[in-house]
Amino acid sequence: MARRSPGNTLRVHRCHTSPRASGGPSKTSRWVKEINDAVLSGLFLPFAVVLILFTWNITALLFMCIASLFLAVKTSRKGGGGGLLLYFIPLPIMVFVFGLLLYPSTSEPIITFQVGDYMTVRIGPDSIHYSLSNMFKLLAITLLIWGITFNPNGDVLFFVLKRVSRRLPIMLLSSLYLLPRVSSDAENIIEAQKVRGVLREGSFIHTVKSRGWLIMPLLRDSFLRSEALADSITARGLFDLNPPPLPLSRSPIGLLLGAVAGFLMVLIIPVILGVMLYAPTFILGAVKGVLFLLYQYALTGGGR
Amino acid sequence: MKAVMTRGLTFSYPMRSEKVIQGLNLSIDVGELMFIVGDSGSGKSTLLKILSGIAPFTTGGTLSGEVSVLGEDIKREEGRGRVLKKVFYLNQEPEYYLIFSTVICEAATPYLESCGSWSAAERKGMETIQKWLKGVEPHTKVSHLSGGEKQRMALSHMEASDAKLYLLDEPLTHLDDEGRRRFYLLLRKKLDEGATVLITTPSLFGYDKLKEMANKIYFMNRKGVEKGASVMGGRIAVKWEELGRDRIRREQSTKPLLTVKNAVVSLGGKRVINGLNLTLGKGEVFVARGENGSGKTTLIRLLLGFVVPEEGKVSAPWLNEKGEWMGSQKIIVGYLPQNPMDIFTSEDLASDLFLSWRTGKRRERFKSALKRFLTLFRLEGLEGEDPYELSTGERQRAALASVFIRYPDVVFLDEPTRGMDGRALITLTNLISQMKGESTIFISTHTTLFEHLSDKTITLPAVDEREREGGGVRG
Repeated sequence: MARRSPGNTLRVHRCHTSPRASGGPSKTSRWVKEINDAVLSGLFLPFAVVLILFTWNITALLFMCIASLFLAVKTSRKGGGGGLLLYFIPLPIMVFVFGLLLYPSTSEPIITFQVGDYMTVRIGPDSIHYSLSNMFKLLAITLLIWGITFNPNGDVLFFVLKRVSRRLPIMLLSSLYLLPRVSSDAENIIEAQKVRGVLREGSFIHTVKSRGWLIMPLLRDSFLRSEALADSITARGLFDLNPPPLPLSRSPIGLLLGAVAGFLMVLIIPVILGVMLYAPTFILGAVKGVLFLLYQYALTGGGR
Repeated sequence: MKAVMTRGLTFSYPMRSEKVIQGLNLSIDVGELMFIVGDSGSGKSTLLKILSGIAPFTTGGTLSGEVSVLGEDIKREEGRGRVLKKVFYLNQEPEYYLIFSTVICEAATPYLESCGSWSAAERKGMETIQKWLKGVEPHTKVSHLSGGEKQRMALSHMEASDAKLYLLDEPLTHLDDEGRRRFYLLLRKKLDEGATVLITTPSLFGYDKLKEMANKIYFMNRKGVEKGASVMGGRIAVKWEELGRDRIRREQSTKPLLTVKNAVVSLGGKRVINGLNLTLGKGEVFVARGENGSGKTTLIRLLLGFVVPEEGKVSAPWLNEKGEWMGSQKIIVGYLPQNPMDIFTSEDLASDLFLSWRTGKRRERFKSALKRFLTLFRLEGLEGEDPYELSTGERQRAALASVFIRYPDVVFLDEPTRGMDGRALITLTNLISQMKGESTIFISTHTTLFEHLSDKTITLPAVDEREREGGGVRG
């Protein structure tokens, strides 16, 4: 039974046909396809996770956000879950503000001010950098999760299982995979709580307060689901799938480019880890970001 | 040869002193069909998890005693690895068993290894969809399937499996007659091939055909399994009169409470409800029956105002002019969703019931209402428990308690029998029969359990029938 429908609180997602669809792919849609394919290759995520976890470089993270944004834009046109993103968007901004407030600058501050009797806020280049990095990380994660989990073009988890049968990406993806279900559950929970009289619309504060009731069942349900999912993956023996070979580029130049880029990336990550806060190497970050995209380009065979 | 052999099997989950299974001795021969029937919370699901090699390896916990599955010592890592390949385990919650997002990926994955290529597996997957999920688009999201369709999807994996031992946790819960028929045929085929099947269920209601096929039926409680014992004895229900019925003034009115006129609803481009006319008076019991995917949940959502009709009109005190939910001060509406977990918001059951009581009629003080409903639904001692930690059957009973503690004027129950044991089913039917004439009750179900209580019944057309007629539910 197909579900979801226009209700008073429900969002309707319809497939829109692009006017370009009949006239061949545009440059943007080609890029979108390439990045989409990169995700499907199952390698995007591990690299993205490494990038998000181990770099503080704003430029590299910005690239990450752009790449994820392509996915997010793509998916918002076709698949559901767009509304869920709205709940996550304020978080990176909050992280930025709290970063500025809670991590005082150790270098020459640009602004200094007193909050209350005991707290002095010192905002300098290093604290701005740190807060921005954190903000972009969270933004990248949010967009990445959104892009991957609501991807309407294929079953990402399936392709990862098929191509890269490794425990880490499976576990990471299966966690991310719960989000669409969370989105669908959210609607069911809202309906149940409305009838129960717990969730009522009214003033802004009342609405926010009553929405608070949603968080607990959503979180708990997703934990329960992730446990059950782990059981199912184990019971279904999906770890035992033999991974078929990775998709290789047809073009020798693409292959060479990918190999060089991959090699350099391996070299660059420790460098980034070493320099971290004290030398924000923007150029290095930009190079890394470009190499990252090229690597994906080569791996997916130029967006075949 | 024994397919399963346990001696003194004892298991407890981490951070819990209470033993879920204690000193269990069980023996199943190869090629047998065995039933384990037990109240919810008796450890049936945990037993299957242990035998399938999942617990305690992914769940944590302490396992002691001897456990041998298909001749392998399941407590050893190597033995467990071999068992995992020979055992098929079906979770009682099909939505948790299914892990991919599209129907075609779910249908094709079991064939991937045997077919060797995705395209060949995809072809087999298409055949599976035709057989088990007729009328469902291959690229439909799994989360958009109904509970019964998810169960069918999960059972289709059993068909593809060449396991030697099948461990099925409440496999008939969501299945309609057609799904059950397919399941019987599949089970017969597997038994003929020499496989061993162990089925757990909270009650034998609806298992008539399977009972005839069974070699052994065991009853399980916290102390172990017992052949031929009964779970149906003991106190079965508290009378509705005790719930303050005498204080309720009966209002017999000829004016219908809910009216649906020529309602048309389409979902995903398909017409699910087509020109439905329906009236529901005060104190009536209305049963909507239908096959999996026939639109039972959509019908409830229409009546609750969470689906707005494209054409026609739905009028009820809790709906606004457009037919959208707005709630009512005068009429208390109760709703048991298909997934009972959508109801719970608190960390312990008592707090959750308090929340429901507060938004209800508050006919009596909370303490006495709590005691009354905990007793009625056999939840004594669980008031401090996290509703998410309860077993499926206990959770369903807790959700029912949460609905009825509000003393609703109108109740919508979506598949209320899910995971319920025999005593709980009797309690529920007794409760409904006693509420009849006083509260309006709408039940959507695939079983015939409530038909003798109903004033009005509607049978929703099956998916293929609907396609043939070019429309959905007609009334």
